[in-house]
Amino acid sequence: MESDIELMLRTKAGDDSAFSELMNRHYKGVLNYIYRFTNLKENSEDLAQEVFLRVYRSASKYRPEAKFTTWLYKIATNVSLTHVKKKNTNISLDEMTENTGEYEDSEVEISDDIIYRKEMKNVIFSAMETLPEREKIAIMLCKYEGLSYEETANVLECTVGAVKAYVHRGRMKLVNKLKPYLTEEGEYGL
Amino acid sequence: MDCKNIKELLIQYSLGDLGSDEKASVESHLDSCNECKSDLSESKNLWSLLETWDELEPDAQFLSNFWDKAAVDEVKLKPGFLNWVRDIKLNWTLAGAMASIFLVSIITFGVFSPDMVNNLFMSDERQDELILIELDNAISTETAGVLAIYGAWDGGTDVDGNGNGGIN
Repeated sequence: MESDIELMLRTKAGDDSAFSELMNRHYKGVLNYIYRFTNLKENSEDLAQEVFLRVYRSASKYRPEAKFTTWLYKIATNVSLTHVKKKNTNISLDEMTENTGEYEDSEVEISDDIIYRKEMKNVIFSAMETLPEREKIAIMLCKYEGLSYEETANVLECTVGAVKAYVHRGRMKLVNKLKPYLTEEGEYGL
Repeated sequence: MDCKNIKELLIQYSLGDLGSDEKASVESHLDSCNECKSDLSESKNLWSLLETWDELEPDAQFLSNFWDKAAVDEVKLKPGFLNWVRDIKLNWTLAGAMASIFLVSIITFGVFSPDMVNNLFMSDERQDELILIELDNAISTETAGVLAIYGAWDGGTDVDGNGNGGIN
């Protein structure tokens, strides 16, 4: 299997099928990274497309000096931050649960599990929003996107030690915020 | 190690980031401290809780949507007939040298051209003299023309210096 760098170099040489392969590998990750950043399902696809358009447009200048995912998530972070700042999406938990537009037909039977997951999603998002930006990004990249400390350090342009500190501090704050949902045995109401 | 030190290390312990000595110290403390054991459990539970955040599935058409947008972009970024101008890779040194040669040629031609009156470097007195000569020529032409119709106005004055007189 070709590496991301090899695919990107083929894209630079004009092979669009290589870029399609890159998108197949990374699109879902970027989409969910943006979704967790903004908690806006409807905008996440557009923003994810924007991220890959920027990567594609920059293909002619690409130099394989760092991991492709580092570059990709750097762009994804910039796009997400710009969008959040533009839209000022620090919305309250109540607004999120009212206006997601997912379950408009009240006659449809919705399982408790789905309702609970939807609530937990909003609870987690609200807790994440209270974290300083770098701690939030560090946790999202390490926990959800599976980036190493080193890759996350490249995205955040800091040291590995700083990333570990961000993850550590962010995690402690989340434990305090989400204490009511954390039981000793790890069962949280399902 | 006391509880305060252990709590600092708990997350690293849960992530497997501790060296063997520190790991042994933490585990030894956890055996006898329910509070720290509870904190560790909460930290692990948090990580599990974060995993309940559902993932989105990409739109089935995400690839074709992307290439449609990329194609639109390509049209926008490539203007029409001026595209070739945009693509010219200019050798600035050569362009500067040619511009200088052109400028010097213009100036040289202008200064040393024998058939043109070069007013640029002329003194003010010489310019005034030329203006007066032009004026005299213009007046002489006009006067000769008038006299041809009406004759001389001052009673026989030799107007043109050729013995031709005016009106008496």
